[in-house]
Amino acid sequence: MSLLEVQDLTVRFRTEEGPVLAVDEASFSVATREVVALVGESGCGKSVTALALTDLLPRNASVAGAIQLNGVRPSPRARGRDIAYIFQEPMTSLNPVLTVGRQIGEVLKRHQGASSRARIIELLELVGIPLPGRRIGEYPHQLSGGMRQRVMIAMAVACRPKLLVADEPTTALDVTVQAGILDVLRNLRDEIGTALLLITHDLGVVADIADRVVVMYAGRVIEQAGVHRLFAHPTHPYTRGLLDAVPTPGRPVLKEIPGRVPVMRATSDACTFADRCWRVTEQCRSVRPVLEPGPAGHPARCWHPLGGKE
Amino acid sequence: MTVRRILRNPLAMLGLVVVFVATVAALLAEFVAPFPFDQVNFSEPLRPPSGTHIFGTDSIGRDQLSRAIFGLRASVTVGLLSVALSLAVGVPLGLLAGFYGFLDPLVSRLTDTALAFPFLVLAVGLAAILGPSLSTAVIAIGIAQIPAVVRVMRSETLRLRGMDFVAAAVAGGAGDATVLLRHILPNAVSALIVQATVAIPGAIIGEAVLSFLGLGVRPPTPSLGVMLADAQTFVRDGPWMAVFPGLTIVVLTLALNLLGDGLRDALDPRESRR
Repeated sequence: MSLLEVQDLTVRFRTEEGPVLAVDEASFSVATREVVALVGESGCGKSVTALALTDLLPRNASVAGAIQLNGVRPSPRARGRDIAYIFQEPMTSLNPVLTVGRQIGEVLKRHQGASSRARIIELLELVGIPLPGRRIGEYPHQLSGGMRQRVMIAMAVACRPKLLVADEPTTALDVTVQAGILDVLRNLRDEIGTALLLITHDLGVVADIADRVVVMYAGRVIEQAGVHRLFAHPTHPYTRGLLDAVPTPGRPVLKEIPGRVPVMRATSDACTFADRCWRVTEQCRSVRPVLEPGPAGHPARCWHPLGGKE
Repeated sequence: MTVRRILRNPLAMLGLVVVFVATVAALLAEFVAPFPFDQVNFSEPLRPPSGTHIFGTDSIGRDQLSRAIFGLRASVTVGLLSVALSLAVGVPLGLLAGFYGFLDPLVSRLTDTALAFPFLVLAVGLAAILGPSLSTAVIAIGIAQIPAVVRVMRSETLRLRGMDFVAAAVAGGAGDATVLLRHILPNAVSALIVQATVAIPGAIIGEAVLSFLGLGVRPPTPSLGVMLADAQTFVRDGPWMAVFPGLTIVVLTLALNLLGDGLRDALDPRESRR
């Protein structure tokens, strides 16, 4: 039984330029203590999917589909208690006029009714902040980006959420700081048993920490597999393209995917990747591919999956 | 940081010193003033400034300096209370208008309407209802300043509402009240302080105007406006009666404006990289 079950999640936005289909029948699950990476370029609907989990989308969004956490639909009251978030920008995600200790204490009070200095220090230690007794009284501008992101994580896990959603948690940070943050996230699973939904476009991060990968493209889930299987046998051409775009020692030229992510207005009877795919055929442009096990055994949404007989 | 930036700004420091001295003098008027404000001396009417009467005396021999010091008390009282009143009403309205989009048109149009209303008409109307007094001046000036506060608070709320830390707080389960009072309001304080330092000198001038017209502080209680009104009849024989109260108002409001400018520079985040 999985912790989080998302079934046919569809998110539409009404905008001044017309409707936008941000997420198109996305289904995936996250098991207890599992680290699932949601991967894709910018604009593929990853963040929208994450925000939809606790109804955090702006008012012009309409959400359809089923989201269940332990079998029940998470209400806005689950925010911070059952499902907690970490965002991309640690520099601006902390309130500049409140001390670190007060901000963490606020979360504790809100969800557990009480906070204590000892508990706050414990949390700061959990996320690897040195000298927590001193940091507790400092303001965000006195901390580095990495330290602020650690504080954000401490706030997010203050109430031992069942699921932690980390939306590009390391994108704004240096590589060395990034490694430290990933260590913290890994520890959280071991120490408090939190499952992690990690949203990223950095496949290095994915390889480092994820158990399973869900690849999204233009609002659709196009492939999902265990992390080792995905890296060894990418089945969808888009996944392959993403992997090829990662710098590798010994390969001087990066291969990019031509074109850019389309903005979907409505659901279409075609593969959304067709315009950028080198294996495209007439079938791709007229019939919507289904997510079904490919040659490597894991599901991919492609009529011409890689790894099969050519 | 902020404090140091003010200390390094000589004009702001000058303003701060003048405001401080004036406030202390107003509070301790009984001890600072050389004469009681109502001590009549018929043997020395309309004396020009001298060693004993630095600001001269008025038509019935009262010491003008002492009256000006006691008059500051009315100025400071009105300045602080009316601004407090406008903040007390304007801040909640601005917060709500900025945060709840559906309230915005209502509050903003009311604000525009209030701004279109001439200050003196409002004050005369209120004085007619409440009777001229210090409280009338406070209420009239306070009401007149509400729209400016609403606008500042509304625009700050609109700005802060879109900040990442507000989004993060909402994602962490914070309700509207928490977001408004713990995250938005404290971050708007510097803008409100600047607004207040602009509003206080305005209120002090407003008090002088209302008292001059007989709508504010009533004689024999001294006020700089009352003194100016008394001086009208004697502009020829005792010009110092008008000059010194007038100068007092000018110096006090100038000092407040200098302090306000210094505060604005010190608190402006765009300047903080200097």
